[in-house]
Amino acid sequence: MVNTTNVPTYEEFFRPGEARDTTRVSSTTGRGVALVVSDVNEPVPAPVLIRATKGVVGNLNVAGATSFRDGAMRPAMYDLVVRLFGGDPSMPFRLNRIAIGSGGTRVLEAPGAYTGTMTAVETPGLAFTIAKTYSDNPDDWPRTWGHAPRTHETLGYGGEESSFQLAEEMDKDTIPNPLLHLLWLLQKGATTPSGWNGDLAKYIELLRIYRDSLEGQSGLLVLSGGGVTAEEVLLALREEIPVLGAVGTGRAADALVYLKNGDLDMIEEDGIRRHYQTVLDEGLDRGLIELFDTSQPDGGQRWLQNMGFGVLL
Amino acid sequence: MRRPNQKRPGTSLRLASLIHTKEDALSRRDLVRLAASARECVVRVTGGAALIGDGYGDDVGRFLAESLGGSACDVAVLAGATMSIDRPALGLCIRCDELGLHCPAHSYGRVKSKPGVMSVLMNLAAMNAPARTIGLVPVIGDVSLYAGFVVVSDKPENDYYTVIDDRCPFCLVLQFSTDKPTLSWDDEWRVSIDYMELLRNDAQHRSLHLAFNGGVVTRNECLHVAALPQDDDNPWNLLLVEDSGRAAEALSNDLEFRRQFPHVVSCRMQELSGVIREMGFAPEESQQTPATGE
Repeated sequence: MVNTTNVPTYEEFFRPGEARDTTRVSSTTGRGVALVVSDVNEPVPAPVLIRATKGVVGNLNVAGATSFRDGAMRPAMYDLVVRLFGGDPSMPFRLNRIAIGSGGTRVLEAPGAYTGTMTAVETPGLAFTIAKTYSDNPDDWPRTWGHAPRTHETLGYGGEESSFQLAEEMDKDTIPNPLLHLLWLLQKGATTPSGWNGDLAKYIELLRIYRDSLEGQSGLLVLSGGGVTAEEVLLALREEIPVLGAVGTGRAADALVYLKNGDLDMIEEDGIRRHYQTVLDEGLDRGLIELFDTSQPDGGQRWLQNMGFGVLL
Repeated sequence: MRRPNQKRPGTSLRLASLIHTKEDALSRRDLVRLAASARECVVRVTGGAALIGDGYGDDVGRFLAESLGGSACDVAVLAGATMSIDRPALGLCIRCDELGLHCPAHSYGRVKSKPGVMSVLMNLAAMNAPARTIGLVPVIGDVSLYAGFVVVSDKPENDYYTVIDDRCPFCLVLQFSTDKPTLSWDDEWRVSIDYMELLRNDAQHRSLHLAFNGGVVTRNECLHVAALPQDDDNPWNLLLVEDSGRAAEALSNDLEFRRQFPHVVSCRMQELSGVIREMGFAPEESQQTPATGE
């Protein structure tokens, strides 16, 4: 049974000054975060494939908001992830040993700051932290990994601890997420920066390869998000990868209601509507979309269980 | 109704062209499967095929499968995935006589394959072993589909022809390119080593080459593996079966070879399962259950 005293509060999870602390996850293996950089024109690198999925029974990717316009959404999202992945003792849920991935970044409170903030991409590290409260055996714990495009001309390192950064400039507020076993950076050759969607096709390919290996299911969880997230939904559905939307988190996740119903008129954001329209135009299987209300995360837990990602207790 | 993750019946064929030298030819979904083996080990079974000799009967594959733990075998296994079939006896029927291949009426389900180490894969499958396996088949000539078989080699000078063994669950067919498909049998072990290197480097798997009988191709493979740079923490283990005949036996008795590569291990057939267990590539005997397959 979950030991709730070991599930950190928001303030404990994002402790001031520890935004770059890798020990919470990677210390279990005695290693840091493995870093692989590859070109989008290459096949999925074997080290990424094996390290992300070795011995796991499922492969869940979390797509969604990498920033929140409303600051109140941060603790709300944190609370949702805690409840969804079994951190609330009234809704016990044990995550299986799955690969759980997301964008490989962490958003800081401010450029150059040393305190992280809650976004969808924190889900793997947080879910891992909760899973540890259910078992002391590292063989039971999920494997966290992240993917990110190279969005700047150069990478860099600097600051007080010579930390690795996704841009040479220190004034950026996005750093590599430290709560990962593996970070996979994708680039379009050595000279061309990508947009924030530069990694999508390759990581979806990884989900497909894993699903086709017959070792387990691949799935996509959507928490809020904008146009990039909607594109992830489109790419996932093209590969017949099931999608779970958290309705109530806003934007792309909420708009999945309209997508599932086939009527996109109510979607305000062009970037979201455009990709969901493509889903309709291509006749992709909307039956692969499942929704749950954020006020009732047990609906999401049931989907996770049906996918083999965890067990309702 | 088939479940999303349920394997289709028969052999799942993957096709790879080695012409793309910048990209490895491996099947990535099978790499995921191999890396998922419960025991973090990969075993390459190599050796006798068409010329192994009938004295071993049909039991070579079963013997090797049981040596790897039988129904408890829990490693990743790489081997060839072909079977060789003696040409039909003259006079069986006009169509058989004309092509030197078994016609549909006398083919599928009615012919017996020659003994070969490759049948280790189908034996493990029949035993429902949790081993993760993939069979490798280099294209030696034009591939043809005839009488229920995928024929990969049909050289008139041979008194046998070779087909893909459809009892092997997963099979990677290797060709050079579509218009120039021909490879050599050596490419099978080269691709095996590609898989094994990735599993050793990225999945921390230990590796074993198990050589039983075999001819010049097996000898080439053994010489190559023996000479690979040795990593004390994770050596390229090579185990020769002394009384299996031909290449494996000759190398095990080759004093110069053994002196040059002292890490190479050999044993007799009756010792094989114990040696494999001792080396950590099979579960302890107490964990093994009698095979229940065919």
